[in-house]
Amino acid sequence: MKVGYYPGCSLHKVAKEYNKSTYRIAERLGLEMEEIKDWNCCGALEVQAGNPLAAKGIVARNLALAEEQNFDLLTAVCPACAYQLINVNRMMIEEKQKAAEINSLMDNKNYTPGSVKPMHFLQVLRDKVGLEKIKELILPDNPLAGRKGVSYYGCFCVRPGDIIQFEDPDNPTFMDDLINVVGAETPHFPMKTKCCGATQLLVAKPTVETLTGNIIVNAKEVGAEFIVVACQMCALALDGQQKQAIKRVGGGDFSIPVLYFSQLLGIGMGLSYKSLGLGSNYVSPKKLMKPVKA
Amino acid sequence: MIFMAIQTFNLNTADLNFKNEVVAEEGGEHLKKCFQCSSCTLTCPVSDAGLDLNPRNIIRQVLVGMRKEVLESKAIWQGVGGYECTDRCPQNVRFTEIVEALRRIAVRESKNKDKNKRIRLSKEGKLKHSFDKRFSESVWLWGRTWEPEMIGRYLMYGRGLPFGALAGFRYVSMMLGMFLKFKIEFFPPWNSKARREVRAIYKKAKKKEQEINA
Ligand code: SF4
Repeated sequence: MKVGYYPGCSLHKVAKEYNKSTYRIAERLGLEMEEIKDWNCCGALEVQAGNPLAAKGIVARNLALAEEQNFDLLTAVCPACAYQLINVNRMMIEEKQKAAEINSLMDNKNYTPGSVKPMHFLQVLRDKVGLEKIKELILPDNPLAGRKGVSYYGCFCVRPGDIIQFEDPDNPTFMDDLINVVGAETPHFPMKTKCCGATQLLVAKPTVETLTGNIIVNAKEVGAEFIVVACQMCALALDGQQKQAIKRVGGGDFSIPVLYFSQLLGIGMGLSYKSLGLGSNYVSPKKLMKPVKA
Repeated sequence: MIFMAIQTFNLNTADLNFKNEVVAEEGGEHLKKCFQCSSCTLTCPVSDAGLDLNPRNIIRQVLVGMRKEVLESKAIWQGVGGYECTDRCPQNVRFTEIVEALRRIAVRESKNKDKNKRIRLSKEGKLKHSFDKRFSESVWLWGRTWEPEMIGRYLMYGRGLPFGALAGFRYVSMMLGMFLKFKIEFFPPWNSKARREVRAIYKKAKKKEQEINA
């Protein structure tokens, strides 16, 4: 199946391991994933704060590019990008006038609302690939089998529920399913959808550290050996800032590896440490790589 | 225990048109549907962490017309955009978007020519606004963000070189980590086609907004 891939700014360098591992598992699952050419930034929430109209315009340009390059399905692994693509697409379908206004911003492009279906890569895995197919590729003796892991969704993967329309925003379960498929257990994790605040990392660091610290400490309390995320900003906060965050909330001395769901599946499929970019994670996941003693 | 005099708001000085101003702003349309159930505040992680932000309270303040108090508060700048309040609200008030609208009004009013009406942004507000602006400029410059340029300029802005570098100290561990993992992009992203078209969109959008405001 042909899938258009919108990487977004952070995926090329700041979260290169996410990019790499996503490509690897897409290849394994038989998806022909291709980056859309000449893409631009989706503006995240920051451009929208100052110039809301321009923010819609630059997102629409990406949608128009995907349409031009004949992709029906457009996927992003950054939840903020996915949210922007889904939101603008929905807005243009629902409000004809708005669609015309947004289209008039672009010089030589025109986006037909609804011709591309943007979704997060998790949703592609769930709806287009299916859990069964993933299960077939997982090795039963992979190093994560028998461990305990929690999934952390954060905000944009599932919220705002009426726009994303992916999973139950209060208790999403697909990432838990993925962890179970790999053979690990999923203890109940109350902080699953609490926001980590990572987008404000440069603006209000203490706040973000408190929010993140609470999440990490809670994960530890329920007995998790690793945390699975689907967002490079969550990873930046939970992984990159882990030490400071735990210190801020007085959580004690420990560290928990944070994996992307693509890395989780990659480990389950027996892909190599290097090809999944696991060396680039801040908290080294090396201690997860030995099989659990029976 | 110290007893402080409670600062009360004199309702006679309320700006009764403030709510309409917010409703007219993009994202503020649902403001008047709020029935003060407080679900938003209870689910808000920022309130939970003990900060000033209290979504229900802010909505009430807007409805009552406490214009200056709301726009100058630091609370409206503390929201982290997690959409929890938006999602749990039984009345679909969409507080995350309301806060964005309030921020936009605050920024606009901080440049008001009339001195008596001018709003003074709180420190939090200045920081956040500066960050948003640098982000947006970075997109304009390269067609997508280039983090070293954006973050560097954010830290320098209004501080000058030595102080900017000092402000960066807080993030030293973060940056060092990125550096060691080869996660910093040393060269600017170069895609002239994307850049040209993004600039065109910015230009047209700006023109349109001016038309609407004029
Ligand atoms: S949850 Fe909605 S209706 Fe309830 S107080 Fe908050 S904004 Fe108002």
